[in-house]
Order: sequence, then C-alpha cells, then structure tokens
Amino acid sequence: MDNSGKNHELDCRGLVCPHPVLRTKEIVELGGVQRLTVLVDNEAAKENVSRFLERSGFVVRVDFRGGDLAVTGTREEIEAGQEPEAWEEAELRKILVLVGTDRLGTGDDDLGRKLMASFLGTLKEMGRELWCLVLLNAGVKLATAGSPVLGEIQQLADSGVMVLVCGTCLNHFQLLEHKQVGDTTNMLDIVTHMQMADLVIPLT
Amino acid sequence: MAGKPEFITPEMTILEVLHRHRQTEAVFRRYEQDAKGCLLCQALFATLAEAAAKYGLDLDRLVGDLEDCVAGPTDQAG
Repeated sequence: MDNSGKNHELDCRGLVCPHPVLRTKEIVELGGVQRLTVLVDNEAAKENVSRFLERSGFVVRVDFRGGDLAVTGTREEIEAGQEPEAWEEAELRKILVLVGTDRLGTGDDDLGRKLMASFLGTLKEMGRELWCLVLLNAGVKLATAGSPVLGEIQQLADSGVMVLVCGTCLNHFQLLEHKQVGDTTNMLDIVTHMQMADLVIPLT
Repeated sequence: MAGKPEFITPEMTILEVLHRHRQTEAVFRRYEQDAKGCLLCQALFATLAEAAAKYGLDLDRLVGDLEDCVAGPTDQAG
C-alpha cells in the first residue's frame, strides 16, 4: 500500500455510503494528491467515489480487483519520471460547454433541433480537451428519456466527459425522474466548474 | 457544540452537510423510509432541495431536523 505524499490507496471495502466518499474527501483535502486508488465492494460506493473524484479534477478509471472494484483517480499534473506525457497533459485545456437550450439558433425550431443533434454528435471532435458539458434550462431535456441525442451525450459521458445537468431545471420541467445521463447538479457546482475551466463556451 | 447551530440551507448538498456534521447521517437514514430509497447512496451530491423534490420529502422538516441534530446534545461527530 503506497500512501506517500502524492499516491494514496484507501481500503473502503465493507463500508456503505457515504463513508467511502467521506474518507476519500479527507484524503483529497490533504492536498497534493496526484493518484488515489479507492478499493470498494459495492456499486453505489463505486459510483459515488468516481463522481466525487471527477468533481475534484481527477481522471477516473475503474478496474476489477478480485471480487472488488478499484477506483483510481489520477490528477492531470506532471509526475516525476513522466515529463513528456505529462507535459502533453498539462498543455490540454479544460473546455466547458454550457448548453442552455435544446435547439441551436433561431428561425426554425425543427432545424434548430437538428443542428443541436449535429452539434452534440460533433462535440467529441474536441478530443480530450472537452472536459465538461453543462445542460441547463431547456438544455436538460437533451439528457432525458426520449431525447434524440441521448446516445451522443451518453457517448461523451462514457468517454470521460463530465456531464452536469441542472437539477432546478429538471425539477422545473418535472423531468427529475426522466434524466437518463449525467449528474444532477446545482448552481454552485456549475459556477465552480466554470471557474475551474480554461475555456467556457456558452450556447444559450 | 455551544450556541446557535451552523445554518443548514436547502442549497447545501447532502455530502456537504454530512462532511460538516457527521452526526446527521442518522437523520438521513431516518428519512430513507419516507424516500423509499437510499438517500446516502443515490442523492449524496444532490442539494437538500433537490433530494426533497425528487423523493417527495418535506424540505422544511428535513432542514429543521438536521439543524436540531446539529444543535442537539448528542453531538457524536466522527
């Protein structure tokens, strides 16, 4: 078990939520953590620890270890001995795309919806710089059952893009229980992520 | 813990509340019966308001119970 300053391993097997997340948070708040592996034995803990690490700026990977799950978060910082690759990482910007509508442009709504579908399908071309997709106002409809772009958004989420869906907006449209992809979030979370991003692209 | 409890607002996430006041876990567990689900598993990152809306909980009562818990004599943090 390596618990040096930058690398940590935490055994949270046998713990139920919220304890794996609270213990992970304590380690992260020590500061300077570049790599953290959290061993868990249940799906809820895996989901919540992964989500917490992602929100804390880690790139998260989940591996099976025996009958358990190892959630490993790595911060995109330069580590000793990995300068070339890490330098490339450090050069990457964190781009946040804020979508506040379910259609692009004005003039024709049907065209606008098609353009939005095309936009979300093409967004992956930003590559690893695409860090976060925020959906708010009518944009939250894109992440709910029946959305024609659910597959595209799921694909982004699966590739590691953080998808944040405004909870107030879901509630307003009475869609809280119809969300299919992304993390339900609040305005503080959205503002925090906008501040952390290197570039914010708003579509409203 | 002396004096007035730290203010708990509907905009705080369940995780924030728990992180600051570990003893509130018991309150959330109590509400899981009303929520018919595991709040601490499924709504850890939701605000109290969002969790209340999603699980049909009385938000004012939840906030009040959390504040009572924080202010109460049985502060068993940790």
